[in-house]
Amino acid sequence: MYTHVYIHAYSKSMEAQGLPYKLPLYSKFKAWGFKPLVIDFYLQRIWPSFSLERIFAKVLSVCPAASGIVTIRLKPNFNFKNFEAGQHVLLTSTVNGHRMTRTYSPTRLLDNSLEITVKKIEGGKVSANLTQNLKRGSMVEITSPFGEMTWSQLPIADHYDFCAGGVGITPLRSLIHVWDMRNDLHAARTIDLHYWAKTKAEHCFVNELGEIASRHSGLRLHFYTSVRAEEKVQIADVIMKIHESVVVACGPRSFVHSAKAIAETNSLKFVGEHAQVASSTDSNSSLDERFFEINYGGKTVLASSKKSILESLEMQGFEPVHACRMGLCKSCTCMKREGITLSAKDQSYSTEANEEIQICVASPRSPIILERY
Amino acid sequence: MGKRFSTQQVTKLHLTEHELNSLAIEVERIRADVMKDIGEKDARYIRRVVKAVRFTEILGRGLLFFGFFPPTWLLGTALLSLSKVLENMELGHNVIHGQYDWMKDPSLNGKTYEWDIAGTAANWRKTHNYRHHTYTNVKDLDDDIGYGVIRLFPEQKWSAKNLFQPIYSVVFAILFQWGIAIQELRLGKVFRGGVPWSELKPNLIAVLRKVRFQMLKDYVFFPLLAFYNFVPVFVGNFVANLIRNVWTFTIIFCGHFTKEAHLFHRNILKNESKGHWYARQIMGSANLTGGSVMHILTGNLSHQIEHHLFPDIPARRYAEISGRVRELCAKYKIKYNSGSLVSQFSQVIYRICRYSLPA
Repeated sequence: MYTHVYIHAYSKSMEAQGLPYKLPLYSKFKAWGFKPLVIDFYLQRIWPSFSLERIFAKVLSVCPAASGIVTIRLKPNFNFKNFEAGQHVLLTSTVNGHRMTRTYSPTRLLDNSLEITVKKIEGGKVSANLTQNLKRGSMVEITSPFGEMTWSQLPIADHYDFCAGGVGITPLRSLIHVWDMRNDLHAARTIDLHYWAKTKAEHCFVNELGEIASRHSGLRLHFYTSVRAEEKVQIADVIMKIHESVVVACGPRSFVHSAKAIAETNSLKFVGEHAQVASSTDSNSSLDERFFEINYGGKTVLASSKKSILESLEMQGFEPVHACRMGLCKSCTCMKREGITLSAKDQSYSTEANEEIQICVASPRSPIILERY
Repeated sequence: MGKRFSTQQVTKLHLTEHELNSLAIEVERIRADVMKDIGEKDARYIRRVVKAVRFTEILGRGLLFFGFFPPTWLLGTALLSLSKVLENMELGHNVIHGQYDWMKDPSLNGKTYEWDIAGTAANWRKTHNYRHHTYTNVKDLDDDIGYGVIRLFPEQKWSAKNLFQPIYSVVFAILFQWGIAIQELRLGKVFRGGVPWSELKPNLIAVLRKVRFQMLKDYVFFPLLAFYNFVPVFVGNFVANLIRNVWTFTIIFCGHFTKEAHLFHRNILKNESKGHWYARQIMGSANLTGGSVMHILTGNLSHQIEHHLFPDIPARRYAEISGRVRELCAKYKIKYNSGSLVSQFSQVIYRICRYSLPA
């Protein structure tokens, strides 16, 4: 028997509620028409990270961590709370006027600042911006922490195989830090960390993890370099096939899927999260009709690449809000959490996660997760 | 009484199907060129507009607190009026069109932005984004043609009340935001029994809530905050709203009801192609000439033609593409209707007066 948890890049629970919701009548004022964003505007003139509901974080430092990788230290505002090691945040930065969002797993430092590690991805817009342009004193926006890869939620076991693919090391590093600090964890549980990176130079935190391992015999470190085709073999070779152990994997989608398959084969418990790396690409530009799954407000339907998403949903009995049916009035706007769509209006692709689309003119080019407004 | 504007209700365009298809391709090429270039400059521009709106508002309201001194009251009212005009035209109208949705900034999202007038943004999206832009100048489908109270074309049915429209148009202009607020409620249909109360109620409640907020903000909260200066603040807010109302009325009416603006019969919509839709947008719209100040104060609706071709492109781009649109119009022999504010609004006033009489 195994357990598995897949966390999508976003969930409602991570929207900032903010300190003001503790104030009496705040919700009522909002219902009456009070606009927090207007107050934010004025107060940000004197307190740049201030917001009644959003979480802004000031960049305290940007330091190289390994080849093509930087570590960014952030100081979030008072709306950021309840962070547990292993969780993720969505970080938004502005690239050429467009706000773009990626998932990162921070480590909380002793001064309550957060540290995130960013690897520059070839062709990646956000990673390039963060690794090359972000300066001390800049402001970024983050979300409340989310994710269930925390010590309080991991299945209890004597042994853990932590499998990290590339940037997936960051939540596992956080978990190891907490394991190091808590007697109840490092006394009772052992960890084998298996860390894959493309090259040796891209392995992060080697010295830091080595120092922890030197103090605790219960932590064993294994560093590998990987070429994708060989990953599956290596994961299968290295994880301890001890019944009741837990495989915890974080990394690119294919890496996590491989680890899950191996855990299933060996009847091991499994917890996995895939890291959102960069924009998706439509690698198949075939003109043939294809069908893709659309998760629409929690329900799954099949949609044709030759029809608009609106038409596909209507054919299956849904009645999405819409009006002009020509991409004009924005009445049908939905939030695309994941996936690729093509707009019939201007033949443009929407490849980013957490992007709004007009479903009356958008057709699917990959499986989609859509949130209804 | 004067020369009547010639009957302009159009049932068929003068362009062939081939020409309409070519027109569509060329319009979409313009759009694609602009969309490729959208980025930091546009983001920076709209943020500056937001700053201008907010700072003129806080300065205006602040000065009104000292409005017992007439020059301070005048300056405060002027600044607050400027803030409201900018917020309505260059910021609110354009953001609600989704022109800045690509920025993914929650404060500039077309679906959630709420603007500083009595009408709700949700209703505006229905009446304006959808109905007006889809059925521009189509009789009996575009509710903006006179807003159900003013007769502007000879093809519209005349009734005795129209005799008084030169007078009540002035009142309508002064109270324009209230006309916008109730437009989607379709009260005429409600009173005729065409819309059940259960359908009207949720929307009516939303409208009343918005009205309540606007009234409390401008006529209770800020005046009370000014303490003994209640009256200057109250009057200043009233005048600022009035100026905004009259200005938006003027610009909106100049956009579609000048002498050469066409009215369309609903049959024209049958099997309407994209090119046909684009041609109809051009023929039903009119531009205003002027400099950059005029463009900003009108929310770039001085380029009404470009706005109707590209409602979701950032409005600041209209001036730069107007040359290409004008060339297209010349190529396809579609009139590019443009004139000064005085000239265009004179034609609107003429329509209001002329068609107060039976045709």
